[in-house]
Amino acid sequence: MLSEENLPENIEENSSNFKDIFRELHSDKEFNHLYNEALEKRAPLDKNFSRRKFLALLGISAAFAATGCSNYRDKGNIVPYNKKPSEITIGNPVFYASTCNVCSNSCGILIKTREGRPIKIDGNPDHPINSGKICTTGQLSILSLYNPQRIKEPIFNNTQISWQEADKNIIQTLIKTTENGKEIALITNGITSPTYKKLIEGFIKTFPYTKIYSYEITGYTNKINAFKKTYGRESLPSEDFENAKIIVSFECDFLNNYPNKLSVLNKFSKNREIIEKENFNRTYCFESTPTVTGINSDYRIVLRSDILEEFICCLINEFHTVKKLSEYAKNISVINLFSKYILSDFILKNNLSKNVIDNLINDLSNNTGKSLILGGIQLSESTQILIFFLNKILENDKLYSKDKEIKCQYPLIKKADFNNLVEKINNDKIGVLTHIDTNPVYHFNGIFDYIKAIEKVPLVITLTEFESETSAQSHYTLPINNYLESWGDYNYVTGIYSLQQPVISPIYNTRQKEEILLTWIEGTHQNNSYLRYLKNNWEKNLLPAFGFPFDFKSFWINSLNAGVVKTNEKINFTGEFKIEPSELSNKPTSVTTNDYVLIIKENPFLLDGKYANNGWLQEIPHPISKIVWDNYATISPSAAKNLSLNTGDIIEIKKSGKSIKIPVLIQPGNADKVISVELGYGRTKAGIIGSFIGTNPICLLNADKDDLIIKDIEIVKTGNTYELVSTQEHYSLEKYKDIPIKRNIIYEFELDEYRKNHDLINSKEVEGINLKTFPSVNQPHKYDELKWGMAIDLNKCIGCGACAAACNIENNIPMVGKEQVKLNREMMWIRIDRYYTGDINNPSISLQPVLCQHCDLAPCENVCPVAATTHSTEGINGMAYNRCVGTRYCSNNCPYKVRRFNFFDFRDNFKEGFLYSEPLKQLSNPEVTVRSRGVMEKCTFCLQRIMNARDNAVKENRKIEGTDVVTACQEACPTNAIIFGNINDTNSDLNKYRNHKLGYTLLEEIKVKPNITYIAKLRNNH
Amino acid sequence: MKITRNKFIFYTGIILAGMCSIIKSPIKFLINPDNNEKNLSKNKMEIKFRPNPDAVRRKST
Repeated sequence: MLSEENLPENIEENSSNFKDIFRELHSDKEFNHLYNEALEKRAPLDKNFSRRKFLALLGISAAFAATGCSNYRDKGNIVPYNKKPSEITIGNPVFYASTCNVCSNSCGILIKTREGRPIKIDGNPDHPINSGKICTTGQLSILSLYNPQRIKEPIFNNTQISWQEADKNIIQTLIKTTENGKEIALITNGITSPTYKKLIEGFIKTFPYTKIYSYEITGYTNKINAFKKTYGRESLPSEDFENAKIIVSFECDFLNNYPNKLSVLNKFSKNREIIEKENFNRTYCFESTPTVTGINSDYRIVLRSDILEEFICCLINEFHTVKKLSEYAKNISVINLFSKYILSDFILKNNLSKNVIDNLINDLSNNTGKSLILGGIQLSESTQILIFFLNKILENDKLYSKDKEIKCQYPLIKKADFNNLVEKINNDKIGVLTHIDTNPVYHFNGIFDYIKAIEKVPLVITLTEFESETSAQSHYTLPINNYLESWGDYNYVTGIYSLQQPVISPIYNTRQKEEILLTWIEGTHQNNSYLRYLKNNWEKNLLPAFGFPFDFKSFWINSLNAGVVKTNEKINFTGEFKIEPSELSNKPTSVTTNDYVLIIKENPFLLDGKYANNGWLQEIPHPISKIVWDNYATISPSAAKNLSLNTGDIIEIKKSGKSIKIPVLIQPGNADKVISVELGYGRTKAGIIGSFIGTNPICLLNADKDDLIIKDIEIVKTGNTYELVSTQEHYSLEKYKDIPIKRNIIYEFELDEYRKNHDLINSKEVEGINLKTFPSVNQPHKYDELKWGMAIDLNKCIGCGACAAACNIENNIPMVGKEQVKLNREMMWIRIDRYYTGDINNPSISLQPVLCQHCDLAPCENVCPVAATTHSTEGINGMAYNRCVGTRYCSNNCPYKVRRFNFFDFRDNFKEGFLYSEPLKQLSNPEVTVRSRGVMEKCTFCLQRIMNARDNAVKENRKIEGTDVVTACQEACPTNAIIFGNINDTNSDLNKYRNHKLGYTLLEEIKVKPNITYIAKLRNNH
Repeated sequence: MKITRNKFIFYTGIILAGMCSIIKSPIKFLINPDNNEKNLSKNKMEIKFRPNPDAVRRKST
């Protein structure tokens, strides 16, 4: 081997000696041996396999592999219309006016359809009840039409049968039952359709032993019965919220669940006005658990519901005996009746604030005839009667409309009437039991052992869209049309008739429930029989009664076009108080005790449980607790401390031998020793979405009482825990009390404070620095033409979630399920933040909707490595989904945490491809991209609507205006709290909001220049 | 033809990729065994969306 020792002398790099070195190397024996050994171990060279061939084969195999790994799904053929329907133009939506069936309110709706498929429901602006708005449940009820778990064919004892067979057998049984003199029971929801009422009357005529049991478990049945006793009318008064200066709520969540709710919200919001002119009412809310109404009230007084009746007696005594306000002041029987109820004693006994109660007394005394006192669904009939009497003393019945009322066509039954039905069943007096779109097994089985009872009925039929607890116990389950596939008419408010028309032919082999009854009456089925019946009723009975001088055909078409018919129909409400004061109950059903009380409330989204199978409604966070996919028992912090309970601990609530197990939620502002549980959960047959979620508390209700308050319950700690998932716990700063107010994340003032100093926000300083005038290091960008912006008035925002619901539908936002929400992966583009400030036992609760702020100096745009998020020339922060590679740096940088990342293709991931299953995937809005896995998304200011408006402006040869665009959230907001438009238009409404003294932006100090202005909330305190 | 190790590896890869482009399922199954087309295909059904001929569409105002 060569070494330094035997290296030849005078070696130069390029000399011939260098070559000699190599020759020497090669001829070195040891080296040669090693070299040959290495050659033998190496892979043999294939002389026929060249580098070029290798690259070619590599390329081909890569191409095959890429094809194999692709996500291509054959979506079918795209074929243009052979014969295009005249009303459909590809790419243009078609609208239909109809009526919503989610609850009895019968709000007018406009349904947007594309290529024959309904894709969005909004309010009908021509409808006087809801004035173009619709509630959260109404918005998301469209999912029910496309739900793949709808029943598609008639079922008899778990086997599919044909309609002909079902009709034949049922008609035979009905005839036999009538001959035997047994009762045919029809169990329905509240009926507000005059034609449906006529149909049922026809049914009773054909089958004379028919009886109707119409119920609403979370309806105002007690108030209706109380109004009948006090004023002689079996209805509810149409109250004038617009002229009510003082509103007092006793456990009445009127902003969330009230007859004519959307009309109430519209009028209420007009009295929370600060932009155009100052116009504020004052609201007092006495409740045991925070509700939407309570948190938006000026005074929220925590008071147990079971002692409200005693409090009302004290108020009656105060007003008529002490203040001598009404004509009853000289009535000795009234004085004697209520004299023992001393208000000051009650205040002391229950630790109420004397100051607040004095303010209440003064306000009501000074606004007689201009205030409203309201009682909630939980209260008994006797309490509601006392409330009507209190309103009478204060002359507040002047605010009850003299010519309109709110009425169901059939009286609603009480629990006692249902008990009678069960007794009749047990006594073999019922031959046929028909449930028409109701679920009494879920509602009443725990109280009346309904399942055991109906086993004795010879024939049990359920007419329903979905499998339910009741259909599981029925012989026949007959599938009915969704309301978007149905004809109908509704008259809930005097003088207003809403028409319902199908926007799509029935998707499955279903029939309208009215058509089913008509078939049984007539003995045979004919297609569209109910349409003919409806038209006949309108032509022969209703149009002549209206007195309109039109021919029926043009009247019918115009009415369907408008969706509503306004008539001159009036009632004659005299305002005469028909109940003798001596007949008033002076024995409140309860007085203050130390026992625990359970209050059952309606869930704001699932209602009475009907919509438990709607994943979107399960996933919209609760307005107060922000919990998703579960219900819980709310408990006050002090009661939790006494019982050593934490949020998530499971307790057993016992009453009269029955019990439920439910996890606890420590709720600031909950009354001490009051537990409240919301209905709508604990269903066992609500499909793959809604089954076995939460707990059903109904079994604890008293069979012989009509209120939803259960006294003397026993609470036992089980020692087990359950995880409740809440969206508000994400990103919270738990350690710092009142931080949202101190850090100016949200501003809230008193109205008097604002009147004295309009510059409350502009003059506010944090550690000596004025956030508004503090300069930014960045130069602002100029937008000379159009610049989009938004304003949200927190005085009007009630936190109902309708904006989030509309955004979900409009932008194809998927539901992700409880487990993913737990990991902070909820996908909703708008969230409504809820903040507690002040005393934990009675905090001030504030709400603030947060969406993408479309900042001028957006911190998310700078950090995207692939420029997938950019800023448009009109001020919109845009997302290019197909550029996004999913680094999530933008979300990391976003100070408002409004960006949502598709950790999965949630349409695939949620419930094994539920959102991709037919026909649910047809619900997608074709104007908005459906995002896949690995892509960031966020609010786009409804860019698709901006593009449409621009196209329309171009067609009309004009420039696009700010008022041409209405975002989905703005359209849905029932109180008109959201304004969207052109910031550069100095005459626009948006500018008034942006330049208002109460206007502020979120996190002003970081100077990213967000384009959403919030108007600070004012509380009208003394 | 002498099959060398290189040839064996490359031809096997090409055949596998070719099979996958036809069947598709094995690769998807390997990526995500919980989700495959069987779950989707069982929900496929023939659904036609047809407007109701008696309904009156809203004229644009």
